[in-house]
Amino acid sequence: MSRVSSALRGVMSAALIVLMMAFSTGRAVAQGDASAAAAKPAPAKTGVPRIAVITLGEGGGKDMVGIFMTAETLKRAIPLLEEDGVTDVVFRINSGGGALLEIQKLSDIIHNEYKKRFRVVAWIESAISAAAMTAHCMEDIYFMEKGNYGACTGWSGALVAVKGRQLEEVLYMMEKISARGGHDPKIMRSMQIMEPLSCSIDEATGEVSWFQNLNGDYVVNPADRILTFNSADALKYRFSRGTVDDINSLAKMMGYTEYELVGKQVPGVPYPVSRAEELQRKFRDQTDRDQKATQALNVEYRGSLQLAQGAPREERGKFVGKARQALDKIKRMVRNNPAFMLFVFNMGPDEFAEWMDAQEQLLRDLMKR
Amino acid sequence: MNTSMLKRLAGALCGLALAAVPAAVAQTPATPVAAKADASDTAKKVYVIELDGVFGEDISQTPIRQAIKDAKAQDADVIIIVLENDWSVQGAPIEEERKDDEGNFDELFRAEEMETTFTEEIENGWTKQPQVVFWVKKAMGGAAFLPFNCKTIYFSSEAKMGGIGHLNRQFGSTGDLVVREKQFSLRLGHAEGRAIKGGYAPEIIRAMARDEYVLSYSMSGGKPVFHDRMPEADTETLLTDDGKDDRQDNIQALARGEGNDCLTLTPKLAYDLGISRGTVDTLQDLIFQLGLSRDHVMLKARAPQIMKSWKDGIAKAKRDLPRLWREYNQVQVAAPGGYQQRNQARGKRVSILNEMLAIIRRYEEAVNPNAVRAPNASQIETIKKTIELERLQDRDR
Repeated sequence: MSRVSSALRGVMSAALIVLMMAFSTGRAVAQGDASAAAAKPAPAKTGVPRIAVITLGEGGGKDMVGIFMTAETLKRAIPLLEEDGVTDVVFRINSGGGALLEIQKLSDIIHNEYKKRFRVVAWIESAISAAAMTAHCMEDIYFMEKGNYGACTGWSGALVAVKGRQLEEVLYMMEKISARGGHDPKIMRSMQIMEPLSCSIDEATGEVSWFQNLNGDYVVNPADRILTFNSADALKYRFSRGTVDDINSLAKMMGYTEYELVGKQVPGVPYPVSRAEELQRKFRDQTDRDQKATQALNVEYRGSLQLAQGAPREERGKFVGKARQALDKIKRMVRNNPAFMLFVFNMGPDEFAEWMDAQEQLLRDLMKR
Repeated sequence: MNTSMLKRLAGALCGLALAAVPAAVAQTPATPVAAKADASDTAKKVYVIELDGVFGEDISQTPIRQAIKDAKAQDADVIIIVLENDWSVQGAPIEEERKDDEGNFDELFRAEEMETTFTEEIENGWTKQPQVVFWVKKAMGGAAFLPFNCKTIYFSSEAKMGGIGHLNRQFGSTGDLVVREKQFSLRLGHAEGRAIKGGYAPEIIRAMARDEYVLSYSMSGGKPVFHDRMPEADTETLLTDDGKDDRQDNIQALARGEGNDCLTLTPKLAYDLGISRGTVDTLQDLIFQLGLSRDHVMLKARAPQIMKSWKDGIAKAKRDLPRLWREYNQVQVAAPGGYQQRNQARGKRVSILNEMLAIIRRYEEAVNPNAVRAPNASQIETIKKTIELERLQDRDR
């Protein structure tokens, strides 16, 4: 019971969550109503690329990596993309970062599953911290004009940096992820720790040579700073392949003169919403509702259970019923977003299953004569 | 039917017809009202939105969105946003203007919630794109970020744009330097993106934000060229130094608005740096500068009513929320205190909480209930759950 109380306070464990979002302000971008069901897949025109946009994170505070941007949801989207005959997936990223724990999972699903099925492209609106580290496994990165990418220092609590062995492990993880995306590892290193970064560009070949010092022709990051790319610098130093603000210009920049955008038009959304994208949106909306309801749910379950335990046997039914309703809501929350087990209830999967079984047994016992 | 009856019938029918006309007119969509009877069909329709008051409260995305919607309904060709935010110390017993060198960088995230109303929402929602013009009279703190999204900016002669300085001092000495630098870096990344979108040099944002950032400029081909170092020639002008040692702004410089640790844009500076297209002090002058003098129509904008209604609503919400919360805490169970009276008291409490929730949801982007000593939405939902459990437990004994 005390575990429920502490776990359901809706506070994420600072010990588990590093790479916290720097801010909690959301962006109230009017994304329109995505409740309109996407049309059944249209027959693909042979040879024409079919492009689907998938958003990773959105405004209104629905952007944390690990809660709103998860490998599990991306995995669920794959069958829908395949059914719709999608050939190219554009990941439009708008996130202030989040959990270190989720980065490898996201990178794995993109690199190991998405890349072997689709051409993948990152389209950066804002990719800070864990969000940039997620995008980093992709070779093709495009920016929106207002785009920003970087600031990947790991931390927790009162701005305490990840250090020692854990830091070395994260640095190594990102060296490997950099290789997946074909990016020089020095770039991400300067985004994580205060390392200088400069580069020189061979004007004849366009090849960029990176240096973890200031000896290159261009100073990209001074020694005492953490690197975040804006769109101009990302393009100048050939980190990004281009700067575009609309999906049609992006498709052209991807090299297509003929293409199809997969999905249905939704008012206020500047690209068609595919079934896979609708899945992301519904997931985030439900997660947001559930996250906001956590505190009240705690009261509902804890309070009902206490009342049941204090009531005579013949009066327990209504309280046990109420407690069971609350427990069902918890199950539904976790079914929608398994990350809630860790980030809301502070339990691993096995622990959560055991706890759920114990609560159900407790409620059954309360109804026994 | 005789003549007099026919006359009465005719009169009645005319009366009915006259009565019907206003209803028919009222049902037609609003049409733009031409201010000049002789305006040509090619006259540019100009819509003015004045943003004043407290940034983040009076200046907020919902009323701006409503005003833009009205501009769209009237088919505006030009939208002029007049920005003059309240930079006074809030809650002070006497009105006191905040200092130019005060930094409020994190209002950037509030600005991000607003800016899409006049950028992406217009780009995606309007078939014919209007020209959006910012006329800056005062843009301090978070308000300073708004004009950067826009390609056309004018200043008034007393204008200033800044109040986002000393970012590097924001977290004091909390935690580790590398994490503080991460925080600065991501914030600058966000802000620079806005400047780039508007067509402005991101270096200007850095100079406005960080004390240690050194920026100078020279002119080439009539355009400024920026150098992130001290001037190395007479043709180069220092904008901001590193603020260290004897280069730190002293109180004399700050009192005169001549500090150069962080950049505050004045009309001349904004013009020289290519941010402002000119300095104007009247709307007519601005219309002239935009090349619209001879052929424009000022639309009858609902924006003033929209902004006023929102402002009044905010003020009322800030009064009503603590009042309702007091009323909630004063609800008593009436005599004789039986089950029915207890239920009535619970019902009254829930009703008050629901009234508070409605206010909070309407103004949640601008009003923090906790700041006016009232519970927020999440806390209210929790309280309602508690009442629900009380009701479940209670019975008519």
